[in-house]
Amino acid sequence: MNFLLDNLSIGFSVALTLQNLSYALIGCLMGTLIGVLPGLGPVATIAMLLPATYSLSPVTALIMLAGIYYGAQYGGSTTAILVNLPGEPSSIVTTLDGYEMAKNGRAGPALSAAAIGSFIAGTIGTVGLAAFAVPLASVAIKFGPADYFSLMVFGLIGAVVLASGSLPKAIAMILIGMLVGMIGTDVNSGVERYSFDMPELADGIGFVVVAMGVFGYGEIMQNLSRGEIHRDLLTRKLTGLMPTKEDMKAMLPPILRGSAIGSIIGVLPGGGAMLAAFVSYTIEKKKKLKPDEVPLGKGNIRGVAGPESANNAGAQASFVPMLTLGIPPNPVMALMIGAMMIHDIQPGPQVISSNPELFWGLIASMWIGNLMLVVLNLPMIGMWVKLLTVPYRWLFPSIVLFCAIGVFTTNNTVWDIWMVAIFGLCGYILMRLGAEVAPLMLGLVLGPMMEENLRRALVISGGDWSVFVTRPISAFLLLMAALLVVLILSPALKKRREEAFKEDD
Amino acid sequence: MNCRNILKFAAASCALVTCVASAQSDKPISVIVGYSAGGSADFVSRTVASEMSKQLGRQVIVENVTGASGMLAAQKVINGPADGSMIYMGGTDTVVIPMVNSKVKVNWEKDYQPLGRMTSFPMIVAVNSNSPYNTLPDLIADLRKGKKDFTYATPGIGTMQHLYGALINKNAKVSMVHVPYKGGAQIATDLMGGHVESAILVLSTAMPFLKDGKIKALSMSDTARSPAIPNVKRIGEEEGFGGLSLPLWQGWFVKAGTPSDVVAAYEKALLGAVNNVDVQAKLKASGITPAPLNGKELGTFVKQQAGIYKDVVESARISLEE
Repeated sequence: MNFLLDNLSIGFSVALTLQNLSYALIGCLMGTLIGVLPGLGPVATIAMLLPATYSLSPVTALIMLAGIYYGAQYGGSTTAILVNLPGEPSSIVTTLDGYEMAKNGRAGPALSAAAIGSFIAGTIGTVGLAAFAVPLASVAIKFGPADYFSLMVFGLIGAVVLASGSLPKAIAMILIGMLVGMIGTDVNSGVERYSFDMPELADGIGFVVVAMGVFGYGEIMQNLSRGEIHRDLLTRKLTGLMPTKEDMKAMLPPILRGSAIGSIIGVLPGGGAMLAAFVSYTIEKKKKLKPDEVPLGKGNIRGVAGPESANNAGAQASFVPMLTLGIPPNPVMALMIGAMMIHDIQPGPQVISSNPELFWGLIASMWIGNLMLVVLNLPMIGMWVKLLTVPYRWLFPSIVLFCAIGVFTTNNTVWDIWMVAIFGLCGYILMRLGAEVAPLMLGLVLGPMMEENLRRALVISGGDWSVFVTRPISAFLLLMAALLVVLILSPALKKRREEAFKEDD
Repeated sequence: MNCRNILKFAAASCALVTCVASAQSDKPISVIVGYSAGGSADFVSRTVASEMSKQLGRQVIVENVTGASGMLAAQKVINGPADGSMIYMGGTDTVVIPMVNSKVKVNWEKDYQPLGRMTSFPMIVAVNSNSPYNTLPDLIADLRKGKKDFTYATPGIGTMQHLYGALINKNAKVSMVHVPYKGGAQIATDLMGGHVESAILVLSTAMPFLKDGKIKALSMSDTARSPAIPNVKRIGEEEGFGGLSLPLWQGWFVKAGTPSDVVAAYEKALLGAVNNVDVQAKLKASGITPAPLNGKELGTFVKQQAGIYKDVVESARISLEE
């Protein structure tokens, strides 16, 4: 415990410098901004800002980028409650009860429930991250190539289970991602694959380029094709932010439950904020109603407090595998790895010991950031609401431009801009086909890592495949993966899965 | 001793540097670096470039052109004009990659004019601290006795680390198994976790783990022993290695055919910059050893090193092609 306090004090001494505080604030502001605006998510924003962090110190860069991610979780709820549009995918379920509450003139308590819930979840998430990262990192050093391979098999199967759309489409997306990831120089032989003798393809296609394409440009095309969205603003009814005593009493248990769910799901590969929110809502819906309570979906405060806590806790917990194993559980974390790499820090178990100020500084800044967000979101809510009245046709040209500038400055090649454009088109087509792009990104990131570790494990074992089952960690993970496959195929779960994801239709 | 003489020479030439080149042109000079921002090549270039700007009275800008093991940058300078508007940040890859990949048409001797060396730093052969080996001969003896499947990790095929391992295999007539990684950092973790038996690391990145006693160094590749690890023998001292050395180095080049007055001005300014006290302190603080050489000396040095690279590449049949 003392050890933890020592570390947290290092963290706060880093996080509380003027520079880091201001960048945390910038990150939170940006995050809230893109969270409030539908159609611009944290992945595209972080990808866009990555090159701008060159000149910052690594810890400052990560503090800002992390702020964008969890800031978006706060901002997303505002739009969900007031406009019935999820600002972020993770706020989809918040629209169900949040908007109903707003219609009944209880927008204030709904917004407070979201903000307070997020703050409590953020605090719990921060403490959890601080407490579990160190023991996990010491386990992580025991992970050999065979174990990493099995972990990634587990992760990719997990991503299939957790994908919200159709199962075959999710599998297809992962496979396409892995195929795209195969482009470039093979680590074991040095031979170039699918590069067609173009030197630009020798190092493969950058993750950031694909992320910016499918999440940035793809989303923009998708939004434009839908035409101007009719936004039904409920600001007139926004009076009295404070929840009543009864509200407080009703929202505390779902907040705690949501925080716990988010913390667990965030750590899982393929998990993160959105799934945590779904699960939390499903659980709140299953709970028995009190005699005088309105049912969920009709404006129950529990339906706001639970998912909003869960998505914030999930966002923060997803830093755990990234910081300790160097494995990204979702696309945002893959970008965080990119941010560390441009500062020559290889994410992995060594980060905690080799860069303690970075690790603990980031954790401490998350808590400070959450505090800032409560202040930003509650008293300043009016300002964010005004933003919603900006028409999309004014917003998207600047997004397109910033994406192009951002991607060019990463490698100084026009090639990358073309790649973003091509992947933007691919992303749009995939979205129109109803295929989720997140599994594609996971396949792209985890696929090459998986191949690398598979072949490395075999080189070390002298070609003996039994290492995957004789090493206990690897055997355990493969067993878990097999169980997951059985779960996916079992008819009972299939039905439940379909039910759980019906909410967003 | 040799090294000290070079430093003396360099210090002397430093005094001669004045703002010569400012009269020629005031357009900025680009330094083309083949690796991404944040890495050591980028850091060294930026540190030296800002001092060289002062010396030349002209802006010197670092431009990162990443891809194909730095060969996109090498090609960019060759395709550009021979007027000194672009400086190429070269290193071991400049010489080795064309040797292992015939598709890369870069010939350092014909295509470039060397300006000067900036840095030179050693690699080490490291093992886990639990390993029974304490010196390279310990390991070689065991390998000759018939120990099989002894692995060494490197950041990839055709890297200098790979060449170092292959050199030991060749000269000591042993066969360690090469385990290529994608870049360097994961290697140290896997070495400490006992997943690979040995690894070839850059000394500066291995230093924190050596200090903690988590890993041991068996051999180092430089021309002289390092003050940081004075007890570790350099590879040239071992039997069968005939005094050779295999350091990593970084230097600047311009396109061949660049006017000689431009080359001379750049060369002076570069030496002046690398010998600058602040620049040296900055580099050393990041674990990089400044090792200035002028253009001609760099040419001679690379030629000698290229011979060693070629021997190893051919005997170990290192190739990036099928």
